[in-house]
Amino acid sequence: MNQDDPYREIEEKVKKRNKDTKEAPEKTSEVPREISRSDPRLQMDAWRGAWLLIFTFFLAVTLAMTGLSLLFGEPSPFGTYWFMWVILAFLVIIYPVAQIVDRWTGRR
Amino acid sequence: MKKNPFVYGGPVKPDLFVDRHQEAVTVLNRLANPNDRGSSAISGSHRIGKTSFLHYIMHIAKVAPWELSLDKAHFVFLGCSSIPLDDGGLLNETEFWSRVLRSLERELPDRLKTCAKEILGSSDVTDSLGLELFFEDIAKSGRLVALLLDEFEYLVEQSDPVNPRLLYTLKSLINQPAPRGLALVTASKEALSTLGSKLRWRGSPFYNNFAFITLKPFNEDEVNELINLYLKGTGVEFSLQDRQFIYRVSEGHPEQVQYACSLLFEKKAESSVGGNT
Repeated sequence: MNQDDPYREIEEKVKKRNKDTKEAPEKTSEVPREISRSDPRLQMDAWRGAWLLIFTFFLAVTLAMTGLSLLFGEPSPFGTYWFMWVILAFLVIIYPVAQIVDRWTGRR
Repeated sequence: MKKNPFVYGGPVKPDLFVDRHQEAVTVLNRLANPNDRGSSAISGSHRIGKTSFLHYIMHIAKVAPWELSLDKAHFVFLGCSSIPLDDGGLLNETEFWSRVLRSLERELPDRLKTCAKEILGSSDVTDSLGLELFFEDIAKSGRLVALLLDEFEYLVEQSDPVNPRLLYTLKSLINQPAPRGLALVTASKEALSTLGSKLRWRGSPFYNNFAFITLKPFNEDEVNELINLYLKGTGVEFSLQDRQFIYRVSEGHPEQVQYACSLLFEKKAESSVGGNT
C-alpha cells in the first residue's frame, strides 16, 4: 500500500470533518435567553436605577449650590437652597417605602 | 470486505468505551458512598465523548466495587434537548419531572412506584415539597436515583433566567443531608460554573455540591489502546507509522481518532481485497 497518498487524503478528510462539525449549528443556543424588557422584575430594577440617577443628580447639585453660597457669604447651608435638601430627604424616604410596597405586591 | 469496527458521529457502546477510568471512578465513588451520594458535572469540548461517558457510567455502576445494581440505584438518562418547551418558550418543567418519574416507575418496588404514580397523577407534578418527600422515601429505602442529564446547557439556557425554578428544585433536592435520594451527573460543553453565570441566581451557587470533571483528548497510549480494542478480530493491523499518523492528525480527540481510523481501515481493507497488502 502506498502510505503517502492515503495519509494525505485521510488528513484532508479529518480536517474537513473537524471544520464542518465545528461550524454546524449547535442543537442548543449559544446565547443565553434574553429577559423581556416588559418583565416586571426588570422594570423594578430600572426603577432602582432611575432613583439612583435622580438622587445622585440632586445630591451633586445641592452640594455644589450650597458650597458656592457658603463661599459667597451665605450664613447657613440650609439658607437659599433649603428646598433642595427637602427634595433629597424625600428621595431618601421614598426608597425604603417603595421596597416595602414591592414586597407587599409580591414583586420581590 | 472486512467490517469497519470504528464508530464516529454517535455515542459508542459501553463495552467499546476506552479509558476515562479515573473520571468514572470519581463519579461512581461519589454516587456509591452512602455518606455522600454526591453529584458530578462533566464538561468537555464538542464530541469529546460526554454522552458515551454517561452511558459508560450506567454500564459499569453495577459491577464491583460500586455494585449500584437495581436494588440500590436507578439511573435515568435524559437528553435535555429532547424536553419540549412550554408556550412561553421555556423548558417544560412538568414534562421534565414526568419523564423522570415515568422512567423510575418501571424499576421501583411497589410502595415507591405508588408514590411516583401519585405525583404523576397530581395537579402539579413540579411541586417541590412532593418531590422532596418522594426522594426522601427513596433515600429511606436505601436507594438512590442518579439523574444523568446530557446537554445540560439546554436546560440552563431554556430556563427562566430570572427565576430558574427547575434548577432551584434540583439544587434543593441534592442539597439534602446524606443519605440523599437524588444525585445528578450533568454533561455540558462549558463548565457548570460558567453556565450558571448566565442566570440571575439567588443564594449559594447551583454548582456548589458538584465535583467538576473535564474530559480531555486522549494521549498517545490511549489512542493505541483504542486502536487495539477496535481492531481485535478484524484481521487488519495498523503499523507504528499508522498509529503515529492517527495521533498526529486527530490530536487525540476521540471522535477524530475514530474517524481517521475508520478511513485508514477502509483503505487497508480495500487494498487487502485488491491483494496489495
